[in-house]
Amino acid sequence: MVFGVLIFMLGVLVVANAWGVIDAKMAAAGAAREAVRAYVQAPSTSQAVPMAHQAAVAAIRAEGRDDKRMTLTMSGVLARCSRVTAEVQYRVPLVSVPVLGGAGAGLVASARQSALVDPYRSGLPGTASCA
Amino acid sequence: MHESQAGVRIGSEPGPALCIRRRHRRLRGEEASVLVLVPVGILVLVVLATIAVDSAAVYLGQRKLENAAAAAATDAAGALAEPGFYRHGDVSLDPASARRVALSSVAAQSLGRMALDGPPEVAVAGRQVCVSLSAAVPRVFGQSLPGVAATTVVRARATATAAGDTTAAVPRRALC
Repeated sequence: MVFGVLIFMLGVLVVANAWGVIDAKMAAAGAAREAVRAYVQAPSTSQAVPMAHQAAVAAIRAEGRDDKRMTLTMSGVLARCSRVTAEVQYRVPLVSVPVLGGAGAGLVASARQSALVDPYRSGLPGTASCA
Repeated sequence: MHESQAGVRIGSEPGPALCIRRRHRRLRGEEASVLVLVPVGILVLVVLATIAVDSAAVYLGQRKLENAAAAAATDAAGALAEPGFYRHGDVSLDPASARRVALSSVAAQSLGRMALDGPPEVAVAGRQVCVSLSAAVPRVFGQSLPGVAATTVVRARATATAAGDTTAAVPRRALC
């Protein structure tokens, strides 16, 4: 009986963790998408990274998650036809108990999204030919 | 032996020792059914949980594919037919350029463990572009279950329209 309960608890833990990782991946994908859109639409290079970070934080918070567990990495330059990539990594705690919070180093859910800077944007360097 | 007013026999009730013996005998009979019911119950719960996680994984794959299609369509919407744009201000897409941009965009997206089923379909009409993708999403637990398909095929379509023109857009269904 005790053995059965232990197996059941272990199974529940595995399934809950798997679901937690999938849910975190969805949140990270949403944050990466928002970040890359904010970056390519930013008015200047100096504002691009802060705007992308702000958008990612807002997206991850909107999913009800802790933005301190998130890291955002941007690559690419803000120039016409340049490909910009946003990668969001989110640390998922190994064991998460409602009210008590999470414990353990956990797993990292990551998502990547890339976008092309509009070739016809004004105020940016580069040529208007992406193909 | 006598009867109470309610008609219940109280004189023939078994003694406590007999009751305990009967109860033990009954419990011994139920122990066997518990041995069958608990594993079956746990098995049902585990199967339901694996179905839930697998469905979530497929849904995640679908969303990833939709994101990739949307990003490819948005990128391809910038591939204007430049001679017409610069000479007359016409906003229409160059099909060849739009296709090239869409393909490079899909290749740059992160699709994880998903594998595209075939090359992306890119349809261009006027200033609109439609990107259709199809991919096989591997299941998390389904791979280890006999009789369950290891992958699920998901499809995603996205349409983008180049802005800056006042002509009517093509209905999406006509495009892809």
